[in-house]
Amino acid sequence: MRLRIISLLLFFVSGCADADDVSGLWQTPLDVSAVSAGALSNDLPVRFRLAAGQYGKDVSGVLLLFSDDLFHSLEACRYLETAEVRDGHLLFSVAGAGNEKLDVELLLGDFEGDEALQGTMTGQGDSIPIVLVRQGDGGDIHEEGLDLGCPQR
Amino acid sequence: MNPSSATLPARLFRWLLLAALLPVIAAPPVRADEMPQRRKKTVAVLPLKRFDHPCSHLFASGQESEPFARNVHRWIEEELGLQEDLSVVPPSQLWSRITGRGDYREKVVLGRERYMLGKEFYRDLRQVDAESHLLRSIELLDGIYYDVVEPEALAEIQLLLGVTLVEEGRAAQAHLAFKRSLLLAPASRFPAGYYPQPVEQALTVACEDLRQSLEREVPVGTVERTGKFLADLKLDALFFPLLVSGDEGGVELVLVVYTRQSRAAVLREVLPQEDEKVTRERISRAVSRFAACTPYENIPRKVEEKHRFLFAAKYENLLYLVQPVRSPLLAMGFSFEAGHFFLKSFALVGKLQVFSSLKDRFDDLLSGFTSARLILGPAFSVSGNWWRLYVVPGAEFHYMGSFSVSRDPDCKFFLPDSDGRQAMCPSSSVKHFPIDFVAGVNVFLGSQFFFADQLFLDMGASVSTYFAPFDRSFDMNFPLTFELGGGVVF
Repeated sequence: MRLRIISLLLFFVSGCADADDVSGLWQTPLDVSAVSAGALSNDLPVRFRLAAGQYGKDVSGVLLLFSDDLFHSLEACRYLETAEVRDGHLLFSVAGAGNEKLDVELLLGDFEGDEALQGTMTGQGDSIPIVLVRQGDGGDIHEEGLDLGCPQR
Repeated sequence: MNPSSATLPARLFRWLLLAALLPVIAAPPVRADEMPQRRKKTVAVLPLKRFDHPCSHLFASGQESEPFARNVHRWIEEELGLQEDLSVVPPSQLWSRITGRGDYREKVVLGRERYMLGKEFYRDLRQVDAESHLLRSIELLDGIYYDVVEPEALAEIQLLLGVTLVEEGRAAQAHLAFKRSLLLAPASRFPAGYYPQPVEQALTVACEDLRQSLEREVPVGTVERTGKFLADLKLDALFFPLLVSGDEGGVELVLVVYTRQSRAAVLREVLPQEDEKVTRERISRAVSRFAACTPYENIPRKVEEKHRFLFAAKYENLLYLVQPVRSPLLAMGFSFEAGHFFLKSFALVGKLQVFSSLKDRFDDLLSGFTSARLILGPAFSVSGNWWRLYVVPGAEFHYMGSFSVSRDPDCKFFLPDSDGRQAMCPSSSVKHFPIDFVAGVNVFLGSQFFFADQLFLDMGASVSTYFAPFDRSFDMNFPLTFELGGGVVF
């Protein structure tokens, strides 16, 4: 009986934290080359920054594309659409150029020892490789003002 | 609101309140500062032993009359029974207590067997063997207080032991054995010439010695054994009446009383035998004196008898079993309670509780909210010396602050009034709950543990159900609370 109660408590405690939590701020590390995101980045090589909030399996956030290494020159910002975490993958789509939808699938893992999301962005053209390393948490998102939405350019 | 649907629950609620208040109206008030109750002393009276005949009668024939002895025993019992703080164990019950002990029958059989063996060895003139078996027999039978149940039987064994010891030439030990035999069965008579001259002489000396030392005799042998006897049989005091020859040729009744704690007699009354009326009056006085002078323990008052007012403060966790979010909706808060005891186990209780909601697992609750509730109801309790269990069926009035709920992750991630919220979170995805007042019934089960005279720890759980206003469904209902705190009574 006592074991049952302890198991139940452990179940509730463990239920409070999601194993695959993508909430936080992620961006392309400097030792990964910038890549072109096609029409979305005006064919310029860009680095990605992702601000995400996870609620159960549902995810919300913004994906930003910067054309410089310092993440100052914002080329594009897109809201995540139909975003969710499934089997260790973060899946979402963003609006591309025109009516195009770009599907993004990122696997939660590690990159050179850091927690990372790695995968591709797929549209009508070639797949674009994406590597994102965790940079911070919800506090950093708030500091960057990304919980207000896409920044005005 | 439909009047016909509102009438029935309202009427039911009124009747429930009236029923709860009925004990207050019907029963007389009880003073909390009542006198403490005293624990009754359990007493028993051993049969009267008569030592009022001269030792020269030891070898004379004839039976002594018993009516006076029986009367004295009855008078003592009756006088003890009249005392409010004493509870008398009648002889039959005392015997049952002794013979009902686990190993009684086994020890009787073994003791009697040893006695028979001792007797056989004695007849075979093997005194040394006889002595060891008789001693073992006495040891076994003493262990089960056989000397109280069957004093004559044990006296017979002691007598045979004395005779054996005389024949062994151990006069001192024989003297003690004869003395105990005569103490156990003072009415013993022996045919003149049946025993050898040295045995008759030793018996006479033992009898004379016993008459001299009667004042010092203890009911069941020694003070230690008397104490153990009282403890084993759950008695507080033992009355030991003796009839002895008086200094001036008359007869005196000696009443000796031992208690479990005492190392000596707590009462030793010598009553010259007069007519029955006077003797009985003297017994009455002696018993009254004993009852008056005996120290009594107070029965600790139960928690419910100690106070009339109660204040408590508790930390609470609240869980809504019916709520508009996907995961359990929890709130934490504090409860402040006051109670007034009208009866020992009945009080009226009022509780004011304030809660603040906690984040739910999926953040469906967009903004936290506060709520407050007032619970009024009767408390029914049972209690012991340091604990109380109670139930409070009460009426609850609950104020809930406004809040918003959404399952859309965009409505959670982006701050209110931000571009992101406007772009991604349609207003239809957010449900607003305005300030609300609801009413219902709350049932609380609680326990209090008193760690000091007036201070207690309190823990319990409650559940509520809301049914008013009657004309709508409830998005939040069945709050379950767990409470832990402390309080004071006075």
